[in-house]
Amino acid sequence: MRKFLLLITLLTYLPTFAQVGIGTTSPDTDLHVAGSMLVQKEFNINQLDTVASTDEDFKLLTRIKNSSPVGEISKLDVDNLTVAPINLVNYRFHNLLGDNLTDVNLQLDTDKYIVGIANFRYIGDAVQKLILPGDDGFGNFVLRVFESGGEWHLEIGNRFLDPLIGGTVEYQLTLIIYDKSYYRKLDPIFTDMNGSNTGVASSIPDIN
Amino acid sequence: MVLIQVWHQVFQISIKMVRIILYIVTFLTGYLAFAQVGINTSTPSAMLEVNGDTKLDKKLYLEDPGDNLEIRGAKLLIERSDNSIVQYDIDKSKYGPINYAKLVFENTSKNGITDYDTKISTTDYIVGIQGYYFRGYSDGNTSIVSQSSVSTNDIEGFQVYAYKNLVTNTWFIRAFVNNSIFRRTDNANITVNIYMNVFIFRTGFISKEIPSLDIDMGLLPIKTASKPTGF
Repeated sequence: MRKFLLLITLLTYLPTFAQVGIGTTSPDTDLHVAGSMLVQKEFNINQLDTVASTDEDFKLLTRIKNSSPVGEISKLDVDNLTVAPINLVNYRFHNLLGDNLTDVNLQLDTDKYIVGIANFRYIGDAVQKLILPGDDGFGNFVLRVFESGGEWHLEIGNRFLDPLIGGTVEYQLTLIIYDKSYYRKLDPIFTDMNGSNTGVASSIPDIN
Repeated sequence: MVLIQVWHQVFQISIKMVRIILYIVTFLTGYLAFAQVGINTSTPSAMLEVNGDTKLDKKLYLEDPGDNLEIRGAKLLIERSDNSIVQYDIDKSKYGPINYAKLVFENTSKNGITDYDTKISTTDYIVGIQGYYFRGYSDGNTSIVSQSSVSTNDIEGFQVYAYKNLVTNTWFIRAFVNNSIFRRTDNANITVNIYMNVFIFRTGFISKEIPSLDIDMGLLPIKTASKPTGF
């Protein structure tokens, strides 16, 4: 019994210079936890290797705030998410009134998303230059998304000119829908150009 | 130290006490779990310090890891296909989550580009055109216009876009003006350079494609479109 106690005492005091298994008797690494692990405070990794140039199909790690227990580290699997950080949707708008798409509510929440336009296609008949005899203006072709009532809206078309009666136009484009958790919306930057065509930004965003 | 004192007392007491002492030792041994633990180190600098590799068979929970308040100076963490966790470095990785390229099409026909194979996989990437401009090929002349072959009164629409070729499974690019040619303001027959800003998103990382939407405007300029799937 004395030897047994001595052994216990020595083991208690000796630092462990062997592989340790938790939930396993055959650890594969210096510490091997055959189960889950909860760290209540900081988690530091001193030797963290870097992605190799040959690596592909790796996944971003995220921390889940509403898991139980809180803080589950999980892979971001965009294929199984309904909304990814960046989402691409092709739209086709047809059966237009002339070329006019004045206001389409995309029903995308401006609190959650930022929307951009790519791959724009104007398919169909041209708008006509003449509005009044002697007026050869090009009108004003607009292609934009804008915020209204907390949702993103879309405007496409020449605000002043139209195709000939009976002409048809359709639009196709790709909307890039960025989730605001990953894509920051900065404040607008207003610059008085003083009638000039050159200028300098009045302020720069603080993004350092 | 407490345990050593306990050990010295063991010599003084009867064998009947041993069982009690054993309980104490067992208790104290358990108590030590509330002190710092080192694996392969005798001087742990945190509650648990593992001087070596750690393997975790199931989940990791970080209850209070702290927040990162700086955009710069931090690397994203990724898990590789062999389940190892490494840091992401865009300069070393084969691809970025978002990639950008300027495409310059030199000496292009006055009809624009009707088919151009980017050789970029439609499985791995999503490609799109966000901006473009054009100018003369031979002299860099910026006074380039497009002219409709239908009528001088026609202001034609542009189509500059990337699309999937379902045979090659690569992204193709088109860039032209409907029913039009590029020409110089002095009517010279020319070829042009077309410059494009192209984004190339990696699929399966932070980007995904959502099913297309087809909106019938019903001959009205105002409409509420249905939401994309999942939004």
